[in-house]
Amino acid sequence: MRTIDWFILISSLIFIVLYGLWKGRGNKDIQGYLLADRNMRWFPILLSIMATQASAITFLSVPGQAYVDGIRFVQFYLGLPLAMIILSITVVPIFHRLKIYTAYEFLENRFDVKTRTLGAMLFMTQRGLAAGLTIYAPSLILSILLDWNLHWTNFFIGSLVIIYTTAGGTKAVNWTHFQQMLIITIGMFTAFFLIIKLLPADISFLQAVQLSGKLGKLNAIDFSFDLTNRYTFWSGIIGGLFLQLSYFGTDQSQVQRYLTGKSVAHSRMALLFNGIVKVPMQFSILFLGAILFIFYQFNTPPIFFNSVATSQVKKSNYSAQFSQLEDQYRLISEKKAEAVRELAESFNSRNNEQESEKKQQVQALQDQAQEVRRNAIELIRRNDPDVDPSDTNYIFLSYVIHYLPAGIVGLILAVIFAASMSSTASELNALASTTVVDIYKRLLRQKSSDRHYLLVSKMATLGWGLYAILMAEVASRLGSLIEAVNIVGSVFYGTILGIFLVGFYFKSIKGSSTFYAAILAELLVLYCFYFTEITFLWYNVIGCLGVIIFSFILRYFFRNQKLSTNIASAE
Amino acid sequence: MENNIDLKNLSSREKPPLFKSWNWWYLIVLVNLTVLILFFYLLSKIFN
Repeated sequence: MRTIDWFILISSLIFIVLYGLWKGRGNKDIQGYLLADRNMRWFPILLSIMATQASAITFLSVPGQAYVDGIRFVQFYLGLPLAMIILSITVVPIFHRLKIYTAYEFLENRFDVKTRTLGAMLFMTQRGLAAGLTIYAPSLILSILLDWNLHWTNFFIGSLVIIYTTAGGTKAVNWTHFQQMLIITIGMFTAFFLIIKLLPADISFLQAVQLSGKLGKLNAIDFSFDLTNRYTFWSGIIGGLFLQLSYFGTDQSQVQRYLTGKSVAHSRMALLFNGIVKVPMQFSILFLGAILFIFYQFNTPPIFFNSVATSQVKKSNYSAQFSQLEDQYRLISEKKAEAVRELAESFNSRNNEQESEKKQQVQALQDQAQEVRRNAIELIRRNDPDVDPSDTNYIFLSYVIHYLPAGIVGLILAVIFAASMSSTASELNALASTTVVDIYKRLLRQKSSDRHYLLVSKMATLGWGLYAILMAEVASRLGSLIEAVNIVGSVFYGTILGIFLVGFYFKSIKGSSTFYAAILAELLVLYCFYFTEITFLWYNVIGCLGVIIFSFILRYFFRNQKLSTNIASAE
Repeated sequence: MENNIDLKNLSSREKPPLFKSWNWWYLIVLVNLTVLILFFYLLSKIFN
């Protein structure tokens, strides 16, 4: 990190915090603090929705994912535009007319207070853990690659968010999202432009795209129907639809964004534009990773991108063996660079046989390089069994640090900080709203002054912020539980969506049938999780349909029970 | 205590920007998605 990088990073962060404080001033009641006086226009809401969904991991991990696995992850988002249409038609007008503060208030309106409390508690448990991880994940990567102190990085990110979120509430959160998305867009376009510029002079952009395709990285669509394949067209369009319906329709961190709209039209426009721009945005980040893969065909990549793990093994007894593997890897990579160049030249000759021969040659060298890399990872793991064998999250930032010029490194780090802060701010804001509106105001203290609830809302935001920092601190000790926490989100989303859909569309079904149907559906999802090979996107479909089907069946049981109770009391 | 919400009375009659009906906006989102899927399919097919 050079002085100019520090200057750009720190000035961006100070600007975000000050801008948030300025925009969030003057809140007089909780409507202003939690819903920005319901006065936002569609464009800031759109940016806020996008900034909430895009966490730091999106920018750190997604390019690396395309580098390793190709761009097939884009299929994960295919259900999103459909979800935006459905939510615009149904959820947005209902939530607006009911003038609710949180999505869970709807559950009391439609069912009963116990279902509302259940929804709120599920959200708080899940998001409370996630808020810690949203801070921890980028801090970990930054601390490893830049040799920063993990605890201070956690504390720094968390504190910045707490300052403007607590002081300014939703107005500050929404308006800082505007600035954060601006920094993110400028940073990612610059990174993309520089990758293309840093390609060898004799490789054109079109050749880089062709090479990326030939080496299997442009695998955008897979129409095969396979429940065990995580990313296919069908899992994206069906499973993804249910996941996005649940995320945007029932997760308060997103619902709160469009509840701030000054009218139904503004909230709708924000969601619909998100449906238009989200998939291209995700594709651009993945495409950046696919071109980064081509960049590393001509520039030998590190054998393992986690530099702390490699420096540790170099200091251990395995040092000599590891250096030998590194030399082998370098030699193979150099040979591969030549073969890739010849493959690129063969595109111009339009000789299919020659092209196929060169492709096989590259593939053979690629396999050799992978074999050497596998051995190196085995050595790293033998030296320290706790090291994560996947280095996907480090690929993009490693490229940024080693190849991008002074100033741009600071800008990309500002992107990562901005993304981390934007997601965390929405989470704290939503957690505070749910705590105050669904628990404190509903169950503990129903009649008090606006000033009192405003103060409690600020304290709740501060409290959740400190809790998130604490969770980020203990996250390093949770080990594999981190993955478990992420899976828990997917396991519950479908069921929560099912409860809301029954509430919206099946008027004859009452609270008790839905409540017990949700429990049965959740058990079914847990069965699929533990005893089948079905991948996680399908849990959203199973959970949601489970609630609907079981509630229909239970409706008859509860109706009969009610009848027999009535008969008994008549007798 | 269970309440019922009359969904019919909750539907919004607010006009969208640019068009007379929201259906046009929904159509734009659907067409955009279709074009993207077609683009991804061609990208996979041509370059792989």
